[in-house]
Amino acid sequence: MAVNLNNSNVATRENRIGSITGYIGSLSDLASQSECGTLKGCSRCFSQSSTCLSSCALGQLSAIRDVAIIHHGPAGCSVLSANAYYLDKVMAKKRGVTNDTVYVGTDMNENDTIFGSTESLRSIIIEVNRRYSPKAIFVTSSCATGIIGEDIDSVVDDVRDEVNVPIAAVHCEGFKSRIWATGFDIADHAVLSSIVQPPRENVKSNKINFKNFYESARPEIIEMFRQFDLEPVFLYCNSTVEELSHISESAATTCICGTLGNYLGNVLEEKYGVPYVRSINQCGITGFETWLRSIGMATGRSEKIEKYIEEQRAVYMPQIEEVKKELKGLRAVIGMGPGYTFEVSRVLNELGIEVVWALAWHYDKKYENGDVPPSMKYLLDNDIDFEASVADQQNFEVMNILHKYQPDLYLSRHPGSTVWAIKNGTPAVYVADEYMIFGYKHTLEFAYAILNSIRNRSFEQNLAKRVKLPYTDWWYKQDVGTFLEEAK
Amino acid sequence: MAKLLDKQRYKCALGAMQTVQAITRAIPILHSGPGCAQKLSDSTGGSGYFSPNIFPCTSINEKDVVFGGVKKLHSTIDNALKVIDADLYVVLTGCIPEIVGDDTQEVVSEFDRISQQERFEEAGGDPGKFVYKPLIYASTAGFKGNNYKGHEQIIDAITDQYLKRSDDRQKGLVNIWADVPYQDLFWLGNIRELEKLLSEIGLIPNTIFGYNRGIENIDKIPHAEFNLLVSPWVSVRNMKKMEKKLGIPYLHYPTLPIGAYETSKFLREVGAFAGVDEQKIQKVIEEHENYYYYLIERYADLFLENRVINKEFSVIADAQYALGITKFLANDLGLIPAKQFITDDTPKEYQAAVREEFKKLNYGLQADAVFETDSYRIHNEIREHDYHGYPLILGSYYEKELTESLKGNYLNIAWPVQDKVVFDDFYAGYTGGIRLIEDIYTVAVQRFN
Amino acid sequence: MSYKIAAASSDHINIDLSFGAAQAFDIYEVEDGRYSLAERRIYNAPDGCITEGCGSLGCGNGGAKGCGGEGNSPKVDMLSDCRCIICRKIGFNITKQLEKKAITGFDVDCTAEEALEKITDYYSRLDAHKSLRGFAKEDLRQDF
Repeated sequence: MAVNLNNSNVATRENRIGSITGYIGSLSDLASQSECGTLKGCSRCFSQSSTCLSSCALGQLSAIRDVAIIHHGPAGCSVLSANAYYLDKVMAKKRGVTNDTVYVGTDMNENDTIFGSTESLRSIIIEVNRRYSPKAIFVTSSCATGIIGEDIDSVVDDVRDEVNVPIAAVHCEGFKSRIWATGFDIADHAVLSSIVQPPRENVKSNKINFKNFYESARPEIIEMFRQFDLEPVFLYCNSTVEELSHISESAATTCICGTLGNYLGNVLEEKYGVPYVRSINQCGITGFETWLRSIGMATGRSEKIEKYIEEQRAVYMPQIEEVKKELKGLRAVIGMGPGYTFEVSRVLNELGIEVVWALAWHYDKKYENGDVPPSMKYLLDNDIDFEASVADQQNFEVMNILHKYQPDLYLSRHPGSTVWAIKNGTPAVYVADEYMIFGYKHTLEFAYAILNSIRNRSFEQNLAKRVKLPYTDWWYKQDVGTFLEEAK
Repeated sequence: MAKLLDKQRYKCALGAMQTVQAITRAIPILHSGPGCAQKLSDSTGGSGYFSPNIFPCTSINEKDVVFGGVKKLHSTIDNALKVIDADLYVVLTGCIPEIVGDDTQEVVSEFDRISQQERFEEAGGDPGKFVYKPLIYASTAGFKGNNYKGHEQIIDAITDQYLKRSDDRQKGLVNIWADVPYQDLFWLGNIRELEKLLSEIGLIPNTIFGYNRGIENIDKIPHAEFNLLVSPWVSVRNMKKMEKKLGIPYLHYPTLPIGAYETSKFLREVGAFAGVDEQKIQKVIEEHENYYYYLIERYADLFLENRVINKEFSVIADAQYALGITKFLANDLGLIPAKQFITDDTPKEYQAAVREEFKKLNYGLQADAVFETDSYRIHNEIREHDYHGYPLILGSYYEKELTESLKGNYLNIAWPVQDKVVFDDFYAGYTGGIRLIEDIYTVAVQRFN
Repeated sequence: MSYKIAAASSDHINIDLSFGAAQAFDIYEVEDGRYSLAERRIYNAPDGCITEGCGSLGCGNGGAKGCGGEGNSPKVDMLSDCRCIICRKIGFNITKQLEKKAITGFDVDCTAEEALEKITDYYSRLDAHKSLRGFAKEDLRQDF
C-alpha cells in the first residue's frame, strides 16, 4: 500500500480496500468470492440512515487529551461535540487524569454557503488557540464546506506558523463514502501526518501500541503485558500528544478491532518498521491465544506467553466448559461491523451456539496488505458456514431476518439496533464494549451474559406483546434482498 | 456568518427530524448524508415506534452530487411508503441537496399527486379501501438555522401543505403549542401537564405530540377556537401563519408556567382569553395552591435551614427555561437572579420582547438576561460573578465541571443532558414546580455545607 | 489543468456498457474544461483470463494468485492515465482498484455528452475551489 502522508485526504475505504455494503449469500460464498475478487457491491434503491464517517473520525481524535477539534460546518455536524465533551470528562475522571480537549463548531449559515467563510474559519482557529492553548489542532470539513469548495487545506497551511502546534486538515465530507469506518482511517491519517515523529535514535522500547476505543480493561491489560515485559500504550482515548509523537518507537502495534486499527498499524509498519500484529482478534479462547502468540512472535516473547496461556487455561477452561453445557444448541443472529461479525461467530461456535445468519454492516474484502480478513479465514478453515449478508445498518433487513428465523438470540454492536430485536420478542445481547469478550475472563462473562439473557425473557416478551412493529405486512413477505440492485 | 460555537447547545435545522419523531406514527424521510440522523438523535429515549436508525434516507454520495439525487429521492420515498407503516411522511432536506439545488419540493408534490392517484386506482377507486398517506416536505438544511428554527419549519409545512381552513369550530377546543420536543428534556411531561390544566378550567386541549396523539390531532387543528402558544419566541411565526391561513386567533403566553405563582397567572390569562367563568378558574387555582403550599409548608425548614442553597442563581438554557425558571425561583422561592444566559440563538426580532419579560419579577426585581451562544464567554462571566455564596447553576452538562470548580450547586436542565434520565417528568404547572424543587434539593442534600 | 476521461460506449453517444462488458473505451481529453475525443482504446484480454462474469469484473481469475496479480485488472491498468471512468455500471472491486490509482468511477445512465459536461464542470469547480451551488438544477428535467 502506498501511503502519502503529505496529502490530507485519505482515499475512502470503499475505494481503497474494496469494501462492500450490500451482499446476500452464504459465508463461504462471500469468502470464496473475496478470494477470487469477484464480490459485487450492490447499490440500494431504498436505505435507512446509518453513520457519518465524521462521527468515527472525530470520535477518535476528540478522545486525545488537550487537543482542539474545529469542525467547520453547520451546527448539526459539530453536534458530536456535546457527546465528546461528556466522554472526555468521564473517561479522564475514571482514569484519574484531566482532559481539556475542546471541540467547537463554526455554526455555518446560509450566507457562508454563498460567500464562503474561510476568513471566519481562520480567525476561529486563531481564537481557539488563544483561548485554550491546545497541544494540537484538527480542522475538519463537512458536507456543506466540501460542496461549496472551502479550501481548508490552505487555511491550515496559512495559520500553521502562527499557531505553533501540530495542526492538520481533516477531510470529513460525509458524502464521499458510504463506509463510515473510513473515518477511523481519516483519524489515523491526521495523527500520522501531524503528530507522529520518526523514532529517536537509540531508543529501545518495550512499548506496544494498543488501539482500542474506551480502554475499559486497561488495568488488567497493563498487568498482563507486565508479565511479558511489555508496556501497552492505549490509543486514542486519554492519549497525550507527547505519547502519540513517539508511537513510531514501539515494539509492535496491535488493536482490539481490525477495522479500527488497520490503517495505523500498516503505516507504522511500512514507514517505521513497527511490526503490526495481524491475527484474529482477542475474542474468545482461540482468538485470545492466537493473538497472544502473534505478539510473542512479533516481539520475541513466545516463552513467557506460553506460560501465561497455560496458567490462565487452568483457571478458566473448566468454568467455561461448565457454562457451555447450558448454551448448547442455541441459535443466534448477529449484526455487527465486519471485524466483529466474524470474530463473534467464532466465539459463538466455541460456546456451542449456532449462528443462523450474520449481518456485517460492511465487509472489507481484503485488508491493506491484500489478505482476506483472518477472522474469516479461520471460519472457513474450520468449516463453519452460515447465511450472511452485508447490510450497512439496514434495520428493515434485520427485522425481516429475525422475523423469518426466530432465533433464540440476537447479538449486536451498534447503538439502537438491539431494541428492534426485542420488539420482535428476540432476546438481545448488546456487545458494546470492545472488551466484552476479551480473553478467558471476559469470554466466561460473555457466556453468562448470554445465558442470563435467555434464562429470563420477561422484558422482551412483555414489550413484544404490547408493541406494533413499524414495517408493513408487505415487507415481511418480501425477500430480504429486495432492495439490492446487483452491480454488473 | 460563521462563528465560534464553543460548547454548543443546539443542533441544526435538520434536528427537526425529532419534532417529526415526536408525532406518533409520523416518520421523517431524509434527503441527506447517511449519518445525519444518527448525529442528530440523542443517545437515550430514541427507540420509539420509529427510531432514527430506521429513518429512510437517501444517503447522498459523490455520484448523487455530480448527477443529481432526485431519482434516488424518488425511489426512497416510493419504498418508504411500501415498507414503513406510518400516518404521515415528512421529507426533510439536508445541506447537500439544498446547495446543489435538487428541487425536493417539486419531487415531493409531484410524487404525492401521482402516487395518491395510483393507490386510489389500486383500491378500485373505492374511498373506503383507499388509504391516504400524507406526504409533506420541509426545508431543513443545516445551514438554514438551528433546530428551534427547524421545528418551526415542520409546523409551517403541516400548515401549508396539509391543513385546510375550516368553518366548523368546536367550542372550547384549544391547540396548545410549546417548545421543541427532545431538545426540551421535559417536552412530553410539560405538554401533558398544560393539557391537564386547560381541561381543569373546562377547555378541550388539542396537541399533536407524544403518546396517543398524532394525525387525528393534526386533523383537529383547524377546528380549534384558538391557538395557545406557551414559549418565549419559538413558533410565534407558526401562530401568525395559522392565523392568516386557517383563521385561528392565538394567545401568546411567553413564560412556561412553573410553580404556583406563574401557573395561577397563566390560568387566569388563558381563562380570560377563552371567556371561562372567573369563579371556576379561581376554584381550580385554590385547590392547586392549597395542596402546593401544604407541601411547601412541610419542607420550608429545608429551604430555610440548609447550608448550601444560596439565594443567587444563574440559568443557562434556551429562552423557555431561562425565563420560566428565573420567574419561578424569584417569584415562588424568593431567590435573587444573577445574570441569566439565553443560549438558543434567539432571532434578533424577538430579543427585546424576551428581555422585557425578565424585568417583570416581584418586588420590582429585574434579571439581567443576555443572549449568548459562545460558552467560553458564559463561563467566564459566571466565574467572574460574585454570587455572595455558593452559586446555584441550572444549565446544560457543560456547567457541571464549572460549577464544581466554584463549589456551587448544579442541576442539568438543558441540552446536552447527561446527568438525568427523563421519561415523562415535567417542570410545568404546580406539580412541575414541586418537581423542580425536589431536583434542586436532591442536589443540595448530597452535601452538608 | 488537462486530464483524460474514459467512457464505456458502444456507439460513442450513449454510456451503455458496464465496465466488465466494455472491450474498448473512448478516451476524451479535457483541456481548460473543454473535452474532445482523443482515441478509442481497445482492451486485449491477457491469455487465461476469463472475460465474462467474475473475470469480466476484473479480478483476473483468482486475484492475488491469478494473472491479474494482487487483484489488479489489466483493464484498469490500461486506463491508469485517466482521471475518471464513466460506465453504465461498475463493480465495487473495480471501483476500488480505480481509486487506488486515484481514478473515480461513475456509473451513470445517460449520454456521453451529458456525463462529460457534468463531470468536467464538477472537476473544474472542484479544482478551483468553486462552489457547487445550483449544480443539480438542470438534472431535474432529465430525471423525469
